Amino acid sequence: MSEAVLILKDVSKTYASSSEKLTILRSVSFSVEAGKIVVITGESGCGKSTLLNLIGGLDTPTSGLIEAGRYQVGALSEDGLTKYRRNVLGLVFQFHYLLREFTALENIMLPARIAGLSYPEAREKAESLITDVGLESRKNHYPTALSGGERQRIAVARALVNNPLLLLADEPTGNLDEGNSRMVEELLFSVVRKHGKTLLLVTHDSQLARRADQHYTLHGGELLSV
Amino acid sequence: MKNSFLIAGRYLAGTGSGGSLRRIRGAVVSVALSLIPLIVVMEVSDGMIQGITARYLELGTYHLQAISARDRDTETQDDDFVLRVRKLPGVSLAVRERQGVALVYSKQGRGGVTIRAVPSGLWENDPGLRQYMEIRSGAFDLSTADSAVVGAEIASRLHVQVGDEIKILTTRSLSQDSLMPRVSTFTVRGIVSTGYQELDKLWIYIPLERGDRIMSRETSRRLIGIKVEKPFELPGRMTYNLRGVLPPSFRIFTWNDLEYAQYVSFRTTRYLLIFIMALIICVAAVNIFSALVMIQIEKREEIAILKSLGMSGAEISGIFIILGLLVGCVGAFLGVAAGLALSVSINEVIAGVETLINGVWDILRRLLFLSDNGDPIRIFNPDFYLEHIPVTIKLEELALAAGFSLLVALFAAWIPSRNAGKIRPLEVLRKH
Repeated sequence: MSEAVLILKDVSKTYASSSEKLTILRSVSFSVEAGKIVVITGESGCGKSTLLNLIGGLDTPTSGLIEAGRYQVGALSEDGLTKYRRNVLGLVFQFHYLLREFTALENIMLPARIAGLSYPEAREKAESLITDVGLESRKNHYPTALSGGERQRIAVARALVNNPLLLLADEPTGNLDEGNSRMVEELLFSVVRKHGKTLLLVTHDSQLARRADQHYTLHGGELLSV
Repeated sequence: MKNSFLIAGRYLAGTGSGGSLRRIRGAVVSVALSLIPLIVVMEVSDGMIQGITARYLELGTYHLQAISARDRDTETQDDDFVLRVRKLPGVSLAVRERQGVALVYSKQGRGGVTIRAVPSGLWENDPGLRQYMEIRSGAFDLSTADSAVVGAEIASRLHVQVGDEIKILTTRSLSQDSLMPRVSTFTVRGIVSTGYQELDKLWIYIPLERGDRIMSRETSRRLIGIKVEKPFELPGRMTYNLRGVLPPSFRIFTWNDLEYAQYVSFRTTRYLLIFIMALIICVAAVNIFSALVMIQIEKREEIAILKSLGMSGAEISGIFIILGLLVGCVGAFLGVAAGLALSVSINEVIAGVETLINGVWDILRRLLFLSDNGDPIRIFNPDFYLEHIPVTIKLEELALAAGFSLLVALFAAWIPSRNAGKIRPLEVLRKH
């Protein structure tokens, strides 16, 4: 059995306002082994993105333990979070969030440069990944000159450039039309498999779950294995 | 900070972006525009003050003056003191001069003047005089006892030309209450201009020996005019040396003592102008601040994603600090370059503006049937200002102005950079 890359134990998240408490996640526990693809599905607003945000260190759990790599995510300081994001995570969002001032290739290089890689090293990795996502001919184009599907493919490559221990994808095809969605899904799965990465993907598209190694669904704040 | 620099550089270059680029360019332009008047004031005013001061020193006050407080000293003794002063190291010129007021008249005019009785070889021996005094006609010729060299304005007032005769009325005290007038005849050998109308209508040069005869001790003053090699590095040391060779009855005045009020007035005006111009740069800082705040708002999603990619808050803040500094640098470079270009061509610019104003005025005058008094409109009245403004470029002042604009840019970038560093990715990405 492979080593667990991600472990969640009794993770809960409650948003409290002056008038009410809203519990989004209730004692969520699961683990993800290295090299596996895990899909979490559920209806809109069920807490999928919240769960991903907690794992990504973008939000903190109300209670429970999240451990990814050697990091206890909920207890990290600002500096610790920065290191965690650099060294452990790759993030793909519903929207591509590419930097307009950088070309496709430079956008892919950016996390590597942030992590401290030299320009030639970062470029070599980015060149390899842009070939993997089939956009080598578009590497010098700025995001404004790319289609929605192409931008999202670049975002996938960007998430992989630092060779992350864990790739988190939050509805990566949510903004795309049917054709582009299938293309990006295909690409995401094939690239992750090729590089032996661990992927945690949240989506409301149950079709995607059929291709996963593990499939969970979130319902009423509770995580259920499917 | 390498990545902060890279991203800030891209924001500045503006590749692929829209509104942000316009804002950054606007901030750069505002810094550049605000620096131009500061540079022009610094470079032109300094040259102007030094030019005016140097002209006064070379033509009027000398660099130092030694004046005897004792009436008993004779002219012969003074000549001996002059010889002693000339031997001092650093002294380039020492001459005896007698000055007094007089009435001058010709067949067609008259006026009150200051008579300056100087050695006949002064023109040949004084390069400063030759540099600043313009000979309008004739020569600075005091070789004969009846020679006179007159200022251009006096010549104009008396309607005299080279070769014409003028009479100078001086006085001598007979007793406490009575004066004896004395009329002396001179021939105009040269008409000169100092560059200042106020001096050109005041000075008449005559030979020293003749001056000693026609101006009494009671109505004139004797002085030893001294010029040194480095007048603007004046000289406690030189004053000390002079005291060593002159008797205690001599009082020594530096040009700074003699022109102190005027010099301080110029300096104060200059500092005030620089202060006002520096305030304009501070206003430009508001532009940088608002541009950076807007960019920070526009780029919130990019900042959030950069943080989620592993960029630290300090590095994010660094982007905006560096962007502010880059805006300051580019603005300072453009502003200094434009300010320098304007400074070195200030005389041509003023002449051009005067031509334009006079052209427009001429058209208006013709359209409105107004009469022409014949005098062209001048921005700077040459009675009080130099006809040609000398410009001295001081690199250290340019560096100071550029440094100040950078400091102001840094200050303006401080708050937006702090806010950017504090952005929490989740808050931004959730809204999106």
